[in-house]
Amino acid sequence: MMRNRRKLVLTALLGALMLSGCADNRPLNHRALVLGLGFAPAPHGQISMIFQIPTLTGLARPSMGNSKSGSSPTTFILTGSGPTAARAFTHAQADINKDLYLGQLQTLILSTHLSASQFRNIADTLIRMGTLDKTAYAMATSAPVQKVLTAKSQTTSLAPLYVSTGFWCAHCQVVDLKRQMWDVEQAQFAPARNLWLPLIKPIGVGFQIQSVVFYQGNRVARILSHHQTSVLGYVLGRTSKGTIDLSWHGQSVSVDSLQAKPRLSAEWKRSRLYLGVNLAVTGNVYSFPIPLSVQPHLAWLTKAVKHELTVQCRQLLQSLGRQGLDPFSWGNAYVWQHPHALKRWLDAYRHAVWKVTAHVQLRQLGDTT
Amino acid sequence: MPSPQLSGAAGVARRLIHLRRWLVKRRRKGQVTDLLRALEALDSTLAVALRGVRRRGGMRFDGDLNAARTHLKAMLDQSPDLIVRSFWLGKGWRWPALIAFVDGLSDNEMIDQDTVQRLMDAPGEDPPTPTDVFDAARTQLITAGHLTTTAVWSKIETKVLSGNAAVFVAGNASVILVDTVKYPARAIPATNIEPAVRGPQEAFNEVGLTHMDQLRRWIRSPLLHFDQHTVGVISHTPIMVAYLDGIVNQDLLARVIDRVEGVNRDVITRANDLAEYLVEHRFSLFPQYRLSDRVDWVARELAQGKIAILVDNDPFSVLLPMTLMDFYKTSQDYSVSWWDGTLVRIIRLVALLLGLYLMPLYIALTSVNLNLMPTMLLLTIDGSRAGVPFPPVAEVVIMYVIIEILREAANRLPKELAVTLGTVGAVVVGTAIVRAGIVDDVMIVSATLTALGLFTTPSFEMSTPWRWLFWVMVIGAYALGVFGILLVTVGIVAYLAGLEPFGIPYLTPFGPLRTQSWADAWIRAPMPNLLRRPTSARPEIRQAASSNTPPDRFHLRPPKGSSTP
Amino acid sequence: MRETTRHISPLQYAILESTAFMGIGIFEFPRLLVLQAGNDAWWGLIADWAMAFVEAWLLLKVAMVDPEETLLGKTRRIWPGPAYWAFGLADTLVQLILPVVALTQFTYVIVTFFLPDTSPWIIELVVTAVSAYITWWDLPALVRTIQVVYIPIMAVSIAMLILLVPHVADTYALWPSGHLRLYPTMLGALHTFYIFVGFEAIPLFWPYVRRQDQPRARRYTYWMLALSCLFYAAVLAATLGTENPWYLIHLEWPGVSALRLISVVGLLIDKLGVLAVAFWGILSLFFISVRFWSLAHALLPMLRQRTLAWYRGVILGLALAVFSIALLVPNVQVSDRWSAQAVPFVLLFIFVYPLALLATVAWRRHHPQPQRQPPRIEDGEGRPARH
Repeated sequence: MMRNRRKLVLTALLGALMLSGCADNRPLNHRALVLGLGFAPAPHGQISMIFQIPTLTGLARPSMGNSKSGSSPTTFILTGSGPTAARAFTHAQADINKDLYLGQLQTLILSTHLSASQFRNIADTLIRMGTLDKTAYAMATSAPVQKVLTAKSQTTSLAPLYVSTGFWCAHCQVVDLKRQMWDVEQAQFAPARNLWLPLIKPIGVGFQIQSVVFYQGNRVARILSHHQTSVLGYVLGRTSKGTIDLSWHGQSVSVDSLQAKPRLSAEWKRSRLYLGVNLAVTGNVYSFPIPLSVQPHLAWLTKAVKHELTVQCRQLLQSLGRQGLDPFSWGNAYVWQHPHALKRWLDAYRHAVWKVTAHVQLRQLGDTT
Repeated sequence: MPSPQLSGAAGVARRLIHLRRWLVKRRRKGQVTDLLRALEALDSTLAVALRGVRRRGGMRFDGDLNAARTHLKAMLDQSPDLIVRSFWLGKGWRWPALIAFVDGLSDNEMIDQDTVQRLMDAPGEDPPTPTDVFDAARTQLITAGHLTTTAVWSKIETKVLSGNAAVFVAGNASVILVDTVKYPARAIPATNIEPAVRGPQEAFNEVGLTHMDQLRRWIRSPLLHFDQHTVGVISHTPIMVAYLDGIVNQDLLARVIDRVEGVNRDVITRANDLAEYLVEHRFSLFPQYRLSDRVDWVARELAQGKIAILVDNDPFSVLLPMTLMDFYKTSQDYSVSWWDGTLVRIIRLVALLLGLYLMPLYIALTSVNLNLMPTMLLLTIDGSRAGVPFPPVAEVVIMYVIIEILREAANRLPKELAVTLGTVGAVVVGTAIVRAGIVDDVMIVSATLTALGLFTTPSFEMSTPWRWLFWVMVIGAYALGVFGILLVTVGIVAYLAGLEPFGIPYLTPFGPLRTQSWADAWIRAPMPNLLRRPTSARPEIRQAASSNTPPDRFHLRPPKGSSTP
Repeated sequence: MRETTRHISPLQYAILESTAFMGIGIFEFPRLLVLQAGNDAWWGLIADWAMAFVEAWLLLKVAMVDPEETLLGKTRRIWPGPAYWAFGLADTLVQLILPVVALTQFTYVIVTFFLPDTSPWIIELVVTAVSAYITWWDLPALVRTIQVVYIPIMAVSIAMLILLVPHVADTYALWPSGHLRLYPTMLGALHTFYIFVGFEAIPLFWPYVRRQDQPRARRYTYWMLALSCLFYAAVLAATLGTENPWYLIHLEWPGVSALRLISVVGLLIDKLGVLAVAFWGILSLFFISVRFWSLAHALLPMLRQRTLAWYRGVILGLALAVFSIALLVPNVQVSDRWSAQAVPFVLLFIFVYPLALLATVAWRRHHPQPQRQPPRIEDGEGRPARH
């Protein structure tokens, strides 16, 4: 009997102890779920941290579907500024009566106007946040971050989910520009310190993600155009629905569903670096202006696509290379095998000779209309 | 102070009991019976020889019918169900005799026609000696199947109270006990507690003898043994320890019999009273024996090398030893195709996991570890919780308490009303509670799944521990989230791993790992593949069947000479 | 029947061996290896494998010196007197530090990723309590618990590592270097050998294996060690491939960081990787439990006690001691330092001790001398008796 009583007391003590350890038990409605997080430079060299949090209307939206589109906003914006990201977070927290919760973060938007030191500070802060979701999609924007975070979407019930819905399906976009917070963090420690992020732009209703921003040493080094981004997609093997428009005796011919798989090679010849990219390209041709037998015009098309791709890719890679921008992380691979040769690599990379070859295979599907 | 004679007799009895146990262990039960019969005959002879020498009104009947009548009437204090009747034995002899029996427990026809009438109509003219009368009654006159003789009052009393008729012959110190037992009993019922869609439906009734007959019909082998014992100092409840000799583990059997004989209580009324005496871990949350009223199931468990204890007056027999897995098997699993059997077992496992984890996970994922849940689901829950004043843990408590109350209420009501109550509970309370904003929609879904999950356990006794542990899980989830749930899970596994009822690890065949027994665990392999008995009961013979390859294929051809139309 | 359940099967023995070392290094691995050995990390890991196999071979040899006798029993017979006490105390000290390191590592993982606002002492207390509870019913029950939980945990871990494959971006880091640098490689290997610390329990559990099962147990031990080595190799590949090596060395728990990338759409818990981290924590919990048992096993013969009550008393005392020492660890860096300082001693202990013991046995075999029979431990096996 005594033993049982002792067991009972021990159990009660343990239960009480467990209940006293519930410091992390904060129910859902006591937390502000941050779905979008933006960073932008603020006056006086400060960092502005912008939180996008769903409102009650926004929370009700996913379960109700799109049919009930009310006029009330689905998200609200909370801003905090400070000399560091951590301080900005504290200031923002002081302005809200709920716990700012970053465990369900969907998008991280970084202004392209952030200085290198600010960028570094933001990355450092994010790395140290234990419960922060590392799989949040990272993007850059040249537009005001607040504007991006307040934009509405026609295709997604809750605007912050636009990006995650889009990037979830890699083959749903023309070029898969998915980058995650993890990539931002990793780049801080890689020797070559190269990073590229997709550029998001708010348009009328919705967003446009068609360009890429290259960072070097946490500073924006270059913003690629829409066309260059498509070309980059081929060399990185991230294009799923590429299109090339050609002209055949004045009439336009289009090759669709272009995909490319790159094979890379690097070679030193007489202290000169030769970098090779071999693309295995596939695509579809639906119709051709003149009903010829298949073989001759397919051969012409193949040759034309090959020429087009190799020229454009070489031009892009060469220009990136001259700036020391390395989308393939070639520098990291080299420094991993030659730990003290970073400078040699960077010099060689800027003056590397690029050779782009392509093996194109097109399918004539015929006119089905 | 006991008299020296009594102490001596007690010593002899103890030695006899030891001798009997020793012989039982060495499977020489026949010799025991012979020995007991010889002792009884010796006793009777001595009683006749010493008649008149012994003190009157002692522990034995001494041939005095008046004293016997007084003794019998005093026994039940003039109870109207005890019938004591004097009559003349033999038309010509007119020898005084007495018959005693309990009205309602005995078969009147047997008493009237096979006993009293036969004794009264006995032929013969010459007055014989008391011994002759007695012998004639025993060997020629009474036509009932089973007779015993004794002179000991305690035995006579017990037998009469269990439905036998006692025939006293004046001047003879022995009493004939005629087996006229006929209890008022239910017809053999169909089981309600462990229903099955297909397969046998027969259940035990309350009569111990019928239990044995029913089992004998399932296992028609001399290997099926019943060891009879009596428990309860006052109730004298007969129990039978049933087992398959040669298959059951002998150590296990000896241990069970030891424990049965060690039960010392005045009244034992049901199987569970006895079973709670037999287990080692008396305060354990988990059941260590299973109560079943299905005859086919008991027969099947006996065939697996287990032991069944049949208790008179209780249709449920105690099956042991049991492992955790045994509580998730049902008779129906074997009455349907093995695919079906396997599917329902997997569903039971999934249901258990859902029942145990769904609501704690709801608490953990909405209060502590919000980062683990898919965003869309979290937003949906967050949306549905808008306006709910309680934290998730309070919602869980409210819902679960409602479920338990509804359940208990449904148990106490007649079947027809229970259905109405279920509807009221499910529809009215469920809808109203959400409308009132006390709990959210998602909670209703998870509460329903939890309730269903925990009640899919086929064995009633096994759902209780999980219902208790559910609360521990809720506390773990509330305090430490998913990590708390994991810790509680490990704690439960450790607890189960520490349980060894009758020396058998409760977690077998998963810890210790016995992959051979997996064929009949969460999956149910086809019957020809179940070649070996599970290791859990450590049977003496593991092999249950010889390996059997599927029959060769053949094609039916039309008989020679037949013509197709 | 009681006799049979006191024993453990060869598979249980091998799993027990595996949990005796896997819980301590799983979170931190392979930070120190990559930090010290750089691109020779793979060679460093292979060196660790080799050392682990040599260690296993040596310890199995020790176990087989007198298969029915425990490690302490052997020590007492071979080196009676002060050497036995010295060994016992050193063993106790080492085994007390190891659970503290595992406990603090795991606690800070939980605090960082799961319960950021909960005080570490609460987690330490709960984990210590559960570890002691698992050990409550002596070895067979402990082994059964481990067996039931360990196999699913390893299956989940392997599934998680497979799910990490699409996240491998830095494939260049998966190739071992072509120019082996011996010193940093060996340094990395030595500092990383903590992943196999705990293996000295081999002779400790040996007497619990039935004599007829012992050859199988020996084989299983090597197999389990090989599988553990492969598991560590998979963790190294996954972390190097998903995190670039320069980021990896900055991460306190590289494996945990890699697992956080896993997200499976369509499940109630989509961040399965984070959940797997908690599963790994259970390995730490088992590590602590096994240490408790080992320590109780070492202390009871020294105290000349063998009842279950004493066994439980010692377990409770040890749990209290480990919890109290863990309270002294203010952060995970201190815990790292402790483990770094303990590793050389442990290495000395697990290599020099078996060698010396085997040498003494071999010498005595060739130079038999009449000597008094040293007293044996009370219960003949040095293990605490049950009821």
